[in-house]
Amino acid sequence: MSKNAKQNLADSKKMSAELFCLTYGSLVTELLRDYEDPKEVTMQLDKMGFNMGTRLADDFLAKNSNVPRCTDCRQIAEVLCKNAIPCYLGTTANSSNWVGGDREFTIVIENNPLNELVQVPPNLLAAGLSYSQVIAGAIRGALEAVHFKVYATAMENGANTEIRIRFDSVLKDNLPAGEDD
Amino acid sequence: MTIFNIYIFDREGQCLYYDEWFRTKQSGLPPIQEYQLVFGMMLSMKSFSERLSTNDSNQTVNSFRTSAYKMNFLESATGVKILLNSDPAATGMPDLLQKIYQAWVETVNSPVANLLGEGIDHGFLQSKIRDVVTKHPAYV
Amino acid sequence: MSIEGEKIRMEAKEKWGEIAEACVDSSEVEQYTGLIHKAFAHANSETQLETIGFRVGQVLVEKVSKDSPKLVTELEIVKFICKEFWSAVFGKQVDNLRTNHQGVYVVQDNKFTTLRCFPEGTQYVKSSGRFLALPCGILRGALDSLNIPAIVTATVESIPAVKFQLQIAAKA
Repeated sequence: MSKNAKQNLADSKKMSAELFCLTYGSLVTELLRDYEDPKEVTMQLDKMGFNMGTRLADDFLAKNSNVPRCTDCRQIAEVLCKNAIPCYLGTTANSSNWVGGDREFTIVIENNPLNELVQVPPNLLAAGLSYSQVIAGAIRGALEAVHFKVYATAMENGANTEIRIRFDSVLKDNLPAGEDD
Repeated sequence: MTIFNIYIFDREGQCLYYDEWFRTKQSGLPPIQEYQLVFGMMLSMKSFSERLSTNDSNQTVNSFRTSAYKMNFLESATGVKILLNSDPAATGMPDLLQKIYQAWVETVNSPVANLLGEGIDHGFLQSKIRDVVTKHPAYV
Repeated sequence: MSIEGEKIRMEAKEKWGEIAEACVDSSEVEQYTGLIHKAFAHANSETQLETIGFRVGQVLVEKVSKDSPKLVTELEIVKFICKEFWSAVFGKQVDNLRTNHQGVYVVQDNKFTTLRCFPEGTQYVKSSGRFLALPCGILRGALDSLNIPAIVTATVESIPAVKFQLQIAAKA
């Protein structure tokens, strides 16, 4: 996604930020109409994000062979902020607010492109709509694909979006029947 | 230099793709059994190398080599495993494996394949992989 | 609602009518749920995508056209859609534009952006329909904002080329 690369749009797989942002907004509107309950919409966005994330994980790894394997949350946060978020959202992010022996942290996404042209009505936010939950879901999905189970929620904070991530456990690979390691 | 054959496994150990180029001798096993053997060998090799590792660093198994061939490994963090048999002297294999992984991501793992429900057909993946392999300097 | 979608639904309805008559047992009905869905689901995924696209097109065209000179005639507007709007939204200009001068325009894009990640050729033509509902909606929304109510449908013969048909509704 990029705003100043229109001449390259045809060849690259990028798309216009405005189109992306408006389509997402329109999708959320349609979901609100469908489900009526903003909390339910948040759950649906999370689910969509999760499905995207599980695939994005492979896409990301195929494109970034130099990214080292993560063993702890500090490394995970580093890769998310320095590589993954700039790559898929075209913006920068930072981690902060570490608690619980580095098992819980916040990723602050600056100038979240999803929010760029959108004003989310405060009453919907109050009723439980988490507009950017799709990002939190995608992070959860991508990390699950690389065997880290986490919980992630998104919160709007002005132009920034905060993703709160809590590490749960490391998942084991499923081994085929008859194989024991 | 030559590239003999390739196996791609998903994280559950199912063989998603097999192809060969200059393999002149078959194992004599039914294909499924051969795939299981290859996959099992890779798992054993992984646990073996971890058990005997002399320090705690994060390590991966990259290849093993006989006098006749070299088996190159790539395991993505998501658990996709690609195994490629090449000439023992072939170079640039990690790079080729990464390219094959990219081809797999663009076809089988693409959002389009997902949305179509039926998945992208085997032929599309095959054409991409054959393209990558036959263009590699180690081929022929 | 696209004409194409409407046609599919009518066909499904007809087919279901025949089957319903031949059915004796209610358990038989179950195997036709797909068909029933096609025939009676009015808010199917394509319609919803079209609606989403419509809203996007409405807003987007305002942004793209704010610096352009005033568009007066129908042809000017369609040309604007094919040039400025198309490149802003789909990344390139269209490859061909034809009209019968009676309110029907056929726009051809030989490498349409949303089909770029499909395998090329005819194999996935059928499945590609779903991917064109959103762009159809975007175009209809854009035309609507410029005061040209139209019906927009897309046809694919060989991926990634797409023909969009803009059928302008008669002015009241």
